[in-house]
Amino acid sequence: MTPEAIFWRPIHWFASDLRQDDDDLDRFLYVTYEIGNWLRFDLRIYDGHPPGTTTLYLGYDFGNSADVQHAITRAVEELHVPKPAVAWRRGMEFEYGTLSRDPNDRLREPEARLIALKVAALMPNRTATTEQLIDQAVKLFTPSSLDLELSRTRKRQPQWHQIMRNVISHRNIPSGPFSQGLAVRTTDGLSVTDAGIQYLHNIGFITP
Amino acid sequence: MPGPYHRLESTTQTSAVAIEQVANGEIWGRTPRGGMVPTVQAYPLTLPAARRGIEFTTPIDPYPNGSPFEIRWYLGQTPGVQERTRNNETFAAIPANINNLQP
Repeated sequence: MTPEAIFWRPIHWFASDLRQDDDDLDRFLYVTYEIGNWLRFDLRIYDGHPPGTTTLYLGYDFGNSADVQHAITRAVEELHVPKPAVAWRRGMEFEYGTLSRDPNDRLREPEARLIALKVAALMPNRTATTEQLIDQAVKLFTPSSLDLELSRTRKRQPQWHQIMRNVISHRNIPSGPFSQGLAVRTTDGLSVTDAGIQYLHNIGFITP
Repeated sequence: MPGPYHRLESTTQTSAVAIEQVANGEIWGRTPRGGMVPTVQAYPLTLPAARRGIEFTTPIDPYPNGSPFEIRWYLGQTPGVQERTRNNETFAAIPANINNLQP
């Protein structure tokens, strides 16, 4: 398989159930996805890759350059990868050994809602408090320098904490997990519903 | 790009393998998981500080489908890559000047 894109998100952002293998390059964690009957790809992190990144691999004979671009775009859409998190994709210039993070890459509320569902789905009773969401979220994403800037409303807390808190407090957003039936509000957090689990299964985060 | 490149110590890049690589002046690679042909794989640039493994240079240019963090040489696809066989398994091989940093 050939590396075709790199995301600035840890592999745990994409899947909770990872496998391990090794080849002549190194040991790696991976998850395999199939979309329709035409797109099969791996997400992997090798031991020698930068922490906090995940690489997308397609088959060596996947297709021409247009096919590869279409596959990358489709994978990004299906996995709900935020645009600024796409650090490199085939066709982009690069320098060996370096990968810059998009300066605009920061946690926004749509991604925070997705992370909250993912975190809570793995907790006992599929339930997490707001503080647990904040505590566990860093296993699924690496805060950027923008994320770490201090909040204007809560002193001594980074901005991304408030973004996570907004998942619970902004409960009536039409596209939010509560309005979509993917989670229910609890006293101090949220609990993932069966529909939420099915959604996470559909995007490959949870295996049945 | 002659290098340098490196490999980290692993279950496939062992100290014994490193000794053999230095002695033979070659880096070998088998067909990787999901791959189609024997492939020599490596990371670009020098070995990171405090890590064990090998560093090497080679006159064989890699195949131009690498990523910022991976380099490949494919048997039958990359000019200069040679075929080797051991125990009925086919390997890709490239000549290399190897520095063993996993004694």
